[in-house]
Amino acid sequence: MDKAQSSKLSAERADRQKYHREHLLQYALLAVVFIFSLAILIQLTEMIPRLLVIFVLSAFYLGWGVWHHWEEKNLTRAHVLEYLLISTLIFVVLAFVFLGI
Amino acid sequence: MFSGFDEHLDKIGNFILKLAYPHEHNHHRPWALQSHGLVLFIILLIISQAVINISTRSGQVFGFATNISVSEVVNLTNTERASAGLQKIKINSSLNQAAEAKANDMFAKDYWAHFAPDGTSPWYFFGLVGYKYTWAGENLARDFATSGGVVDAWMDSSGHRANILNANFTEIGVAVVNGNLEGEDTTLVVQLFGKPVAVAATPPPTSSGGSSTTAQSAKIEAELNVPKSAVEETAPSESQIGEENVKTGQSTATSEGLPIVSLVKNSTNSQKVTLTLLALIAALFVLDSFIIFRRRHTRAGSHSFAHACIILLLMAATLIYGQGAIL
Repeated sequence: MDKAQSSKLSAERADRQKYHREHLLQYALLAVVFIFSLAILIQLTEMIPRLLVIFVLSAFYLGWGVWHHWEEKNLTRAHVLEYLLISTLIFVVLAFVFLGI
Repeated sequence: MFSGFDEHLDKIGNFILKLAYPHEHNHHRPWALQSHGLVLFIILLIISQAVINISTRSGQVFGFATNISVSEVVNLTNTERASAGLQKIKINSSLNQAAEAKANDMFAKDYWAHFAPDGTSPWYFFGLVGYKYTWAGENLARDFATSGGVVDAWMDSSGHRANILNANFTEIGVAVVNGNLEGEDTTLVVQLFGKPVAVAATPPPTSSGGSSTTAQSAKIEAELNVPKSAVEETAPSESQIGEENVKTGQSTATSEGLPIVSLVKNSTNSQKVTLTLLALIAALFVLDSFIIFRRRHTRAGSHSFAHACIILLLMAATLIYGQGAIL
């Protein structure tokens, strides 16, 4: 293996590590926001604040997905639609649990 | 002869494969996880909730409704007593009325306690319906989803368990009342135990600790820390009802440390259906992300791993519902 090949490999490895580090941070942010929001929902007793938290959390997931794929430079309409559907699922299930609608 | 049958089996197999397994014939994305599959899943989730709620006459169309009944609480209480070798207790309509009066009082004065802020004691409500007793007890619960959840939580708490398994009690009254307590829509469960004066003349039934003397009873009462001032204020005179033994379940142990199996067991039908559907879709997302990761395959699709994690959190949130508090 010559020197040029070796430096190319190490550059690729560094890129991969950076990619995984960024991914990890994004997933950690997602986990923290979700767990924190669920903790808030358990504490809240009023319907309107609960509805607001559920809506913001659902919208956050959509925003997170769009941002995540924007960063990966592979954002498409299909991605947006898929995250929108999962956000809707989040809203529906949390509304069942915390709003009793 | 079987070629037609084999063909059908092949078609079904191919359909399931396309539905659940990422490969070239579904563009490396299972149909169930593509946009139209997710839309169908959400519609199925909503319709299943509506069907269950309407069929169980829960009073609402969507969401999780509580499913607690007086008869079930009494039956489960008697099951626990039977397991401990104790006699069954009979339901008493006066005690039911007293339990209902207590629940309504809690909603009217907005308190979550055995003793009202104005000092009204638990056994005031026994007197209100003219129930004269020698032994009385009270267990309270709120925000549970099922009768099983309520009784299991009481059995996990020493004070409430002692009431349920007290051999001196011969009658029971239960009320399940919905209302707004401390700003929150709540289902209150009040369970009253009693032993009427007439029965007191006969010797108590066989018991583990049930053949308590007055002194022993007094000791139990002291251990439960029933506020002494309140006891003195409200306890009827000896000439009225004889000896006074009142027990209130004091420990506030909630469902801490309950295993997942118990949480699932004590969930409502609508919760179970939601959990099943979420588990199914989460499993498909996990399988999808595992296969794509193993193949190092790059596809024009989003990351199933994130979706799977979120759906698992939604399952946890679904399990939280109906884990109330006892007093």
